[in-house]
Amino acid sequence: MNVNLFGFSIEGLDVELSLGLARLGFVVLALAGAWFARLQRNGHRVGSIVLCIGIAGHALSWFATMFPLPNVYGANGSMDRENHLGWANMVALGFSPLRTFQVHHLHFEPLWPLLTAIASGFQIEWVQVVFQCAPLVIGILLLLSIRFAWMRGMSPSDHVSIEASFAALGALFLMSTPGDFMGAFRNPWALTFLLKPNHALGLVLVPLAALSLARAQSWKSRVWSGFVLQLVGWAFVIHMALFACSLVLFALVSWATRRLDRKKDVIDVASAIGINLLIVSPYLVMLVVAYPFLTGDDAHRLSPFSDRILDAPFRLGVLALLSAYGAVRAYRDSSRLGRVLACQWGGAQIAWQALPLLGLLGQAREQDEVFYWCRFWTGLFAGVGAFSFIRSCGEKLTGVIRSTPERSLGLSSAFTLLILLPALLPTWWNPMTMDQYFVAARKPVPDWISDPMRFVREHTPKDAVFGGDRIFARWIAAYGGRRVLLADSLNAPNDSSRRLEIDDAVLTGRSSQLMSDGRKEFGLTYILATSKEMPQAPGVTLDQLVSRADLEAVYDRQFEERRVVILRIRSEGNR
Amino acid sequence: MLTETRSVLAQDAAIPVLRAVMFFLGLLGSAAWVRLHRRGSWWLFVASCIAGLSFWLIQIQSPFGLGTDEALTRGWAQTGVNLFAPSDDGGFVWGTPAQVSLAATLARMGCGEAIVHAVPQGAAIICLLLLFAIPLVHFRDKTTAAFCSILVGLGGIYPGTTSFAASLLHPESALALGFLTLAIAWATRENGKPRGDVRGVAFISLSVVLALLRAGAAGPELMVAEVWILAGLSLLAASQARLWLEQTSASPQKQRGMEGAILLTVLSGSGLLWWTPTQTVKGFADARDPGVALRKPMAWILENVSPREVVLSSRAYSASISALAGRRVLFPPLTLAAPAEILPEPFRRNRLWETTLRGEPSQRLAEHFNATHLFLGPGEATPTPGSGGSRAEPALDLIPVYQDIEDFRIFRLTKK
Repeated sequence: MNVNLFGFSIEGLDVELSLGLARLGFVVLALAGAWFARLQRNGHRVGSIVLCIGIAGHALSWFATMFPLPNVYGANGSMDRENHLGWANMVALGFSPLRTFQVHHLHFEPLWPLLTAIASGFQIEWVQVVFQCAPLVIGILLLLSIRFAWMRGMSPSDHVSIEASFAALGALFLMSTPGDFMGAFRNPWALTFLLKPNHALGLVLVPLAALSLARAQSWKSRVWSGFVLQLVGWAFVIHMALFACSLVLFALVSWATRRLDRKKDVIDVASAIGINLLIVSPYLVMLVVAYPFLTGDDAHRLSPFSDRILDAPFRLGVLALLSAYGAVRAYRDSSRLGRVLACQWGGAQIAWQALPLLGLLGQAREQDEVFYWCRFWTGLFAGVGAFSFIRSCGEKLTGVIRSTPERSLGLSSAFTLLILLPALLPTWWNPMTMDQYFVAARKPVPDWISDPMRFVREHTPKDAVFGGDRIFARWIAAYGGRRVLLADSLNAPNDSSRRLEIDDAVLTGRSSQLMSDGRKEFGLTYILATSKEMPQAPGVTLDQLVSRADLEAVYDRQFEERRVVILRIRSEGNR
Repeated sequence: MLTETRSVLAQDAAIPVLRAVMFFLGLLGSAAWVRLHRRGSWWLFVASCIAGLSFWLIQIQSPFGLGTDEALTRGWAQTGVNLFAPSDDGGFVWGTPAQVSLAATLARMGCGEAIVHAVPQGAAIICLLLLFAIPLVHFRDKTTAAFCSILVGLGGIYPGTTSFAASLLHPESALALGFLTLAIAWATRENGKPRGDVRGVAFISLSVVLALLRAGAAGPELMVAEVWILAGLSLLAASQARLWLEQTSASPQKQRGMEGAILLTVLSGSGLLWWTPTQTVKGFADARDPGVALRKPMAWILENVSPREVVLSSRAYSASISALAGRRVLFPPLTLAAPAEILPEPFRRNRLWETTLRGEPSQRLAEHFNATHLFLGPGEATPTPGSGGSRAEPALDLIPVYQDIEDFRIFRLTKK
C-alpha cells in the first residue's frame, strides 16, 4: 500500500484537489483573520491575529506539500537532501556529529544532524519523519523569532506588535513570487524551508543575534551577543558571514551619520564579531581544512552581463519598493534594532549586487544562499513596508480606513492583509508545477536502491563501512544508514589519495596488504557495486567481483534497470 | 531572414539580452517620466513590453497548440477545413458538426492562412495593447492615465503575473474579457473627483476575488480572468498611489521621482520580463518546431486531393491532415479521445478502417464516406492485400501515389 511517512494511505489521493483546498483554506482563514482584525482596538491582539494567519499559512502549505509524499522531501532529486539524511542517520546511530558519512571525514555543519538525531530519539527509523516535520517547526520558529525580536527591540508603540507580525509574515511568505520556479534558484520558500531547514535554522537565530547586539550595553552583554552570533555560525556559517558583513555596514553607516552613537556601535560590532570568531574559530579551522573555498574556479565565474542582479530584489516588483520603504522607516525608528535590521537589509542587497564582481574572480560562491538571504530581508521589510504604507496613507489612500482612531490599527492591518493576500505564498503555492523536488519525491525510490538498502539496514552491522560505487554511496548513508569510504556527493577528504588507493585495491584485488589496511584504518568491510560501470574501475565487472575468493557475495539481485551486488570483504583468517 | 531571426532568438543566451533591452528601455522610460516627457515615457514602456512579447511570439512557427492542447487542436483542425473548403458547413471529422473558434470563423470569412494561424499571437498582442488602453479610456487626467496605463500594461502591482499564456491558450476568452474590461473602464470613466470609499471597496473586493482565483487555480498558466481583475486592481491602486504621492511629496520633482521608481520596479517584477514560455506554457516548445517533415505530404494532399474528399489515417495524424492540408478525416485526433464525443456510424467507420489496413478497402463504405486516400506515417505498416479475413464484398485497390524519405506514404483508393 502506498503510505506517506506519517503512516497514512495516499493511494488514490487527488493531489491537485488537496493542494487547491489548502490554498483556499488559507484564503478563507486570512479573510476571517482580516475581519476579526478590523474589529479589534488592541494592537497586540491584532498582531497576534496576523501571526496566527502566518502560522496557519505555513502549516497548510507544509501539510499540502508533505502529506502526499511517500518519501522524504528531496528524495529522488536532491543530492544535498540525501547527504543531510545520511549525516543525520550517522548521528542517530551514535557516531560523532563532527564526522560525515565518509568514515572519519570532518564535518563543518554538525548542529543540524545532532538536532535531528536528538529529535528522533537516536532511532534511525524516525529520522525521515523528523526530516518531514522539521520545515513546519522551523517555519513557525522563524515567525516567533522575528516577532519576538521586533517586539523586544523596536521602540514601544501601539502598533509594534502588528509591525512585528507583518515582518514575520513577509519574511516567510513574501520572499517568493509565483514565477520564481522558472529562475536559476527556484522558489526560495521551498528551497529554504522545505529542502534545507538546516539553513533556515540560521534565519531563526539571526533576529535573536540582531536583538542581542542591539541590546548590548556592557561587556557581559557584548559577550552574549558574540555567543548568539556564533550559534548562527554553527547552524549555517554562510548566514553568520553575511550577518557579520552587514554588521560592518551598520558600523560604517553609524560612523558616518551618528556622531553620538558611533563609538559605541563600532565597539559593540567589533566585540560581537571578535567574540564570535574566537568561539567559532575551531569550526572555521574545520571549514578551512575540509572545504577549499578560497580557490577561485570556473564553476564560480559569473558574467558581468548576467540578468542575475535584477533577480533577487527587483523580481519582487512593487514589493521591493515597499521593502525599501520599510527599511528606511525601521532605520529612522529611534531604536537601535531598527538600524541593525535596516543595515542587514542594505547589506543583503549589496552582497547580492557584489556577486557579478566576485564572479569575475571565480569566487561567486553560494549564489543560491545569498539569493535566499537577500529575498529573506526583502520579504521581511516588504511586510513591514506594506503595513507602514497603509497606516501612513490612512484616509488619503482610501476611504475604507476612515474610522475612529482606536479602530484605525485594526482597519489598517485588515487592509494590509487583504492587499498582500494575492502575493502571499500559501495563496498560490502549487508544488505540482512549481517544485521539482515534490514531483520527484512523489515517485517511489527505485527498487534497485530501496531493496538493497533494506538488506543493508537489516543484515549488516551498524559500524559497517562500504566501498565500491561512489555514486551509490550517498544512498547507502541516506537509506541504508551505513558509512562509506568515499562518496561522489561529498567533498573529497584530505586523505582522499589514501582512500583512493585502498578503494582501488579492494575493487581490483591487487594488494591484500592495502585491503587489510582499509579494514584497520577505515573499518572497510563491504563493497557495493552495480552493473553500471564504475568510473574509477572501468574494467571491473560484477562477475569478476563475485568470483573472487577474498570477497563473499551476500546480496546479488538483478533488477529491471541494473544488477546490484553487495560483497563482504573476508578477513584474512577466513579466506 | 525570418528563419535566421527565429534561430537566433531561440538560443538561451538571447534571453538575458532581451531582459537587458527591456530593462534599459524601462530605465529610459522612467527617466523620461521624471523629466516630464510623459508621452515619450509611455512609448518607451510600451516598446519594452512589445519587444518582450514579440521576442517569444515570433518564435511560434506552427499553429499554436496543435497536437498539445485539446481545444486548440480541435479548433485548428476545423480552421484548416474551413480555410481550404470554405463552402462546406460540416466538421473536420466526416459527419460531425463544425467546431466553433475565432480562427475557424475568420477562416470561413475568407481570411488568409497567415492571418488565421496567427490568431493566438494576435490575441496576445491585442491583450497587451488593451492593458495599456484601459487606463487611458478610464481617466480624464492625462498624467494619471499615462501612469496607470504603464503600470497596468507592465503587469500590475503583483509581481510575476503574465496574461500571455492565457491569451495564447484561450484567445477568444482573453479577448472577450479584455474588451469587456475596456467597456467597464469606459462606462466608469471618471467624471469629477474620485470617491475614495467606493474605490476602496472596489479595491478590496477585487483583491479578495483575485486571491480566491489564484488559490483556486494556481500555476504558471494563470486563469484568463485573473489578469483583467489584476488590471482593475492595479488601475485603482495606481491612481490612489499617485493621489497620495501628490499630497505627501515635498515637491512635484520628488513626486515624479517616486513615480519613476515605481514604474521601474513594476517593470523589473513584471511577469513579461521574466516570462519563459518554453518552460511554462504547454505546447510552446512544440510550436517552435516548423514540422518540415510533415509539411511536405500535407502540401501534396492540399494540391492533389479534392476538398470534398476524405483522407483515411490513424488518429495520430487526423488533426494534422485537417489543420495543415484542410481535408476531412474519418476519426477524431488521438488527443481528443473524449468519451462524450459520439461519432455517427462508428461501426461502419471502423469496418472501412479495418478493411483498408488489410489492403482491401470496402468499396461500398469508401464511397459512402467519400474516402479517396489513405495516409500512413513512419512506422505504420503498409497494407498488403489478402493479409487476413475473407473478402465478402467488392474491394478497392491501394495505389501508392506519394512516399518520401521520412516514410510518409499516401495511397489512392481506386477501383480494380
